Order: sequence, then structure tokens, then C-alpha cells
Amino acid sequence: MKRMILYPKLPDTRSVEKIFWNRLGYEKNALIRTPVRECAKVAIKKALEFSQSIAIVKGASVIDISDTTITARDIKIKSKCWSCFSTRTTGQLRIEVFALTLGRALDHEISNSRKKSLSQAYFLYEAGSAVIESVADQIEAKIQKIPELQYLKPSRRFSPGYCDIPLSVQNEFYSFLAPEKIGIQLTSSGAMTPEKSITAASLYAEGLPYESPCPLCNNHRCEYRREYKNR
Amino acid sequence: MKPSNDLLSEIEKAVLEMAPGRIETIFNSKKITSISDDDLLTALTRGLHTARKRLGTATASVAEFLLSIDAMQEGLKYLTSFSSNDTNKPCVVIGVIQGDVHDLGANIVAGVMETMGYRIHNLGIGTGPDHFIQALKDADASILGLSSMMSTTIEEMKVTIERCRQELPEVKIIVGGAALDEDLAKKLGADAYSASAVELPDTMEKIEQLIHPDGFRNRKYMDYGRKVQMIEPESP
Repeated sequence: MKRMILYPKLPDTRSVEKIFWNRLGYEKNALIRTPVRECAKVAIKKALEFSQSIAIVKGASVIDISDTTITARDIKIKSKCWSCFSTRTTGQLRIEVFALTLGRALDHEISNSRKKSLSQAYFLYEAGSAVIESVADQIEAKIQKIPELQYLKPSRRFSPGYCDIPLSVQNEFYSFLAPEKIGIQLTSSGAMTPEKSITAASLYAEGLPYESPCPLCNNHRCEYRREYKNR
Repeated sequence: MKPSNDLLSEIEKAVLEMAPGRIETIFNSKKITSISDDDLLTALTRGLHTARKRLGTATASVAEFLLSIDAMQEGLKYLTSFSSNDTNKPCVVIGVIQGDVHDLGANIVAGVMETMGYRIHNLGIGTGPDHFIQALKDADASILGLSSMMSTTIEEMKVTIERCRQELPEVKIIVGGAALDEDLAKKLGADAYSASAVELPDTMEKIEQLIHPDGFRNRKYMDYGRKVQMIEPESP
């Protein structure tokens, strides 16, 4: 499959707010004090104003699964958990990878905010994170609509640096996607610029017993552990 | 209660309630002129200390704590004895290890240190060992703060610590960031590790004890929680 460039629409304020409060540690219906609420409102508005979302998507058929590595054409992902997960799938198995950025203007605005106030920078930073998460959800939904994937079930998305996927896998994602075309650069240590950029992958299979490897994993103290959900 | 005590309570409350506008009004009022800078600083510090305690017990969010810092910093602008250029203050050079681009945590730590009375040289992201060493020399700093959110930059942090040990052995090093914990910090050769801004005052106290084992330097700011002014022992 060829690389596909997408220009996703930015989410509405309400969608961003939901993710934003969650990121800040406020549970649903939690009391949010007025100064916090006011700063959040300004930050979310600004984050949306300064974001320019652009994404690049590419997929490939999985050709081999070992105990530690999933191999598809032009990409290898080292992960015992996701390899184990892949062995439980049935029928056709594909991997779909995307990179997404909100652009440099938001980075500059966060940096400018730091000069004025620490809290303003923090709110804007978190608002940017909420925006990018929301846009990533939208991209996942678009990928699911690709004709050749419509009859396959998707896993949850995963990214380098999470689960047992080392950050070094970021280089694999980078070579596979060539996201420099949408302005994403990679530092020697695997960090991306602009800062509000993410890469993620999902597995698509005809038969998918779970959404993630969590039910197969013994690390019950993992902070990212997802609840069991039988497919 | 004396009118000045009312005003000091108001200041403390305004910091805790994240109200920099109220701080500005109080500090612009004529009543404030009769109160010493030390008393005003104590009131600001008390407010922030309570905010930090609330953060530590999860009864306040990071967002609330940062807004309290903003309110305190609003007050600090009016205190002539609290100048950021005061060379008598202990100086900290802080930055994010080269290769990492996440500087939010380091900025929060720098902000908290500033309210504790430290002179801060924040080098930001992309800071290599040479840059850190030069900045420490230029600022005549006694403390180096290193931050890394990514495991892939730990080796670079180790190199920076080793370079600092070789060239400036008297400098004390504090590290923090998601990629670290107490054990790793020790292995890397750091003097101290701080998991969050909540622990920072205690960590800085340890660091200062390493710098001045017989006592602390004289400083105009208050120590969190202790409400005492630190006095440097006279030179023999």
C-alpha cells in the first residue's frame, strides 16, 4: 500500500475538553476550581488555533511472527507482547502505521507562553496533547474505512516507548513512513519534533481475540494495562 | 489581629487560591508599605507551601499548584530583596539532556526552585555536556539539574555527569524525569534524585547539606515548612 497523506479536521472544543481533564487527573464530575477552568478554556482555544494537523499513513501485510518480532514488508516491530498477541489472530494479518503532527506553530506558542507564565505553558502543552489524541482517534477511524481493511478487525493502537516496545522502534516507524514529508524530524534518541507529533500502529486481522495483549500479559501492575474485553 | 496580620493572611490565601490579580492589588495598596519584605515573603511562601502539601496528598492538581506558583511569582516581583540577579543566592544550572525535547518537567522544577530563592539558569532542551559545563562555570553555579524523559538519553546524561565530576567536582548534581528512579540516579553518579516538585524542597535541602555540611548559606528567603532563615557559618 502506498503512503497516504491526510489533513484531518481539528476536533471541537468539547471533544478536546474530555481528554484534557482526564490528562490533568480530573475524574468525571470532579470539582474544577474557577481559575483552573478559565485557564483551560483559554489554552484549549489557543491549542486549536495554533494546530495544523497533518498525517501520513501506510500499511503492510505481516509476513512473519517470531517470539519477539512482528515482520511486515519494510518494517519490523520488536515486542514479545504484541508478537504473542499476533500469534492468536486468525486469517489475514496486516499492520497499519501512521504519523501525525500538529505542526511547529503550536510548539512556538508553547515556548512563548513559558516566557510569560509556567501555568500558561503547562495548560497549552496539555491542551495540545489532548488535541493530538483526539485527532489520532479520528485517523484510526479513517484507516478502518480503507476498503481493504473493512472486513478486518483492528487492535488498539500502540506506539514506541509504551508496552514492551522499545523507543528504538521509532527508527523503524520513521523509515517505513518517511514522515519528514509532513515535517516530522527524529532526534538521535528517538524524540520527534514538532513536539506534538505521534506515531502509532494497529494490527488488523480477520480474527482478533482481544484488542491488546494485556489479557496475555502477566504484568498486572502496568499503568497502561487495559481491561479485558473479549472480541 | 493586627491589620498587617490580616494582610499577610490575605496574601497567603491569594497564593493558595491561585489569585495573582488579588496579589497585585494587595501589593499595590498603601497598607503594604508598613510590612517588611521578609514578612511578605513568609506569607507568600506559606501559601505555596500549603499548595505543595495539597499536591502531595492529591487534594490539588498540578494545574492548581502551578497557578499558585504564578500567584507567588506575582508577589515576588514587588519584593526588592528578592531579585533574580542577586548573586548571593545559590545558583542552579538546569537543562534537558541533548536528544530529548520534553522540557515541561524541567521548567516546573526551575519555577519551584525560583520560588525557593535559587538563582536559575535554565538552558532548555538540546543541551550537551560542553554547554552545561560552560554554563556552570559562567554562572559560578553550585548545583546542576538534569532532566530526561526518555530512556534513550540516559547514556548522554551519564556522560554529562562524568564530565561535570571531572571538571567541576564541587558541583552537586540533581536529576529527575520519567526515565529515572532513585536507583538509576545513584548508578549514574548523581547526588540526588527528585521524583516530583512535591519532593523538591526536601531534595534541595539534602543537596545544600552536601554543599555546606556545617551549615547553610545565608539567604533572604524562607525555607519551606521550617519557616526559618538559614544562616551561613562565619568563615574561620
